[in-house]
Amino acid sequence: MSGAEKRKALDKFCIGDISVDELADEYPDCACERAESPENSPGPVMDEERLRYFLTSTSDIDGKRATQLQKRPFKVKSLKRAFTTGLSVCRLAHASSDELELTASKLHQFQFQKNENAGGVLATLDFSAGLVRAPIDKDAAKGFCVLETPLDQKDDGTFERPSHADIVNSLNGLTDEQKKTTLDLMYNRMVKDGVQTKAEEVADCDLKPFLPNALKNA
Amino acid sequence: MNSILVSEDASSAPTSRYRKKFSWTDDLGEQVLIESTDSDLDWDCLRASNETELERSKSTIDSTDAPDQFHLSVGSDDIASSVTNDKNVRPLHEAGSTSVSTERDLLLAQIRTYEQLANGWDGPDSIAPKVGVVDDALTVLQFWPLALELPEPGLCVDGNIVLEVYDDNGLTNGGIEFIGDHVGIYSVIKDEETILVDRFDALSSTAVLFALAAMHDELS
Repeated sequence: MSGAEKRKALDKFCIGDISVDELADEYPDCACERAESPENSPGPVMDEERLRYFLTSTSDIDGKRATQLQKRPFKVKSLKRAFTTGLSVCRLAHASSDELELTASKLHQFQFQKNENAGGVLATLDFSAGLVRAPIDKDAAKGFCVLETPLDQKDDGTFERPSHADIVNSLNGLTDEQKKTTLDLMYNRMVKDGVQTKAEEVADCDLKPFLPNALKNA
Repeated sequence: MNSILVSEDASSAPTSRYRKKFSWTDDLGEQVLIESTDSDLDWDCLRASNETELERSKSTIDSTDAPDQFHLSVGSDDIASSVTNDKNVRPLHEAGSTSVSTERDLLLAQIRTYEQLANGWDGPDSIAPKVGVVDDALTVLQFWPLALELPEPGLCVDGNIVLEVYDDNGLTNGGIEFIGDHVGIYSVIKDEETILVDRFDALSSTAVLFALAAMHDELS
């Protein structure tokens, strides 16, 4: 299958026409990592690239207890999107501070609408692409795939978020038990080898405007 | 042999009118034995924090499958010899600790708030809690052993509810995920190794207790 066809599949994936499972079924072994790169996109994601996942205060948290907000912003369940619609990350080697702040502002805007007090960006988690691509255990051939998925194409052909990438599960047909332990194990790996930073302490962009009001006012 | 006393110990149990024994072979091929010393199924062990939960428990759990005072054991040893007096494995509602009860009440209240979340609660791809998962999580939390750290509840983007367990270093030790149709998936993880993973019927108190006992044994 050609790189162009894989890119078409990724385009469908980005607009939600196909799920992670369908992508893994049609393009096993992370074949879409070898998709043709769109013009004005940085190119395939390399193993050594650092990725950033923004940790937000989602609506299921206990927003009444501001002190609890930053207790554990990264949880196992945070990784669930790797099995549904893809886990959005930014490629730090290619993202400008403007792009990082644009991403944070979009996340903040949504969470703030849901909860004016507790909604916002809490922290970041940085890790290498190779970390999540490595097999999850000795029996697995692959870990997750990291796909080049630039977003929000403008009229001039460039992207508002060229450094966007998606982390997705690489295997179709996993049982619920396998999915659960995959996320558990991947979580521990990311906690051990990733770097978590409170939003107000992030140095390469200004995330303070996107903190939840509960923390700004604390 | 693994064993756990999931309710009152034999010496403090009310006078039994009759005793029941249940046995079956689990997925691992191990014989599972349960001895009930229930008096008249007064369901005291399901001392839920409110009547609604208690009524639900009564109505959904098969009485032949849910003794109210029982000792659960796994293995071939004689049941009578396996009674434990380990107070640490009593279910949370018998803990008698105000601080633990208060913290548990906060968790129960937090889980109940998930019922108010609709599709789109965490982005357009997120869906509301699946039918039954809130009740399943509430029920299991009632039985959470005192010896285990309280879990951290959460709603997932796919509508599942999780009770996640973490260690002091911030790593997960697994936990339970309710995936709908009253199915719970429980796992025990140590560092980068899966110690245990299986599923259980969240409507069966026996199955719930068995899952918690298995988690307790691996984590304690």
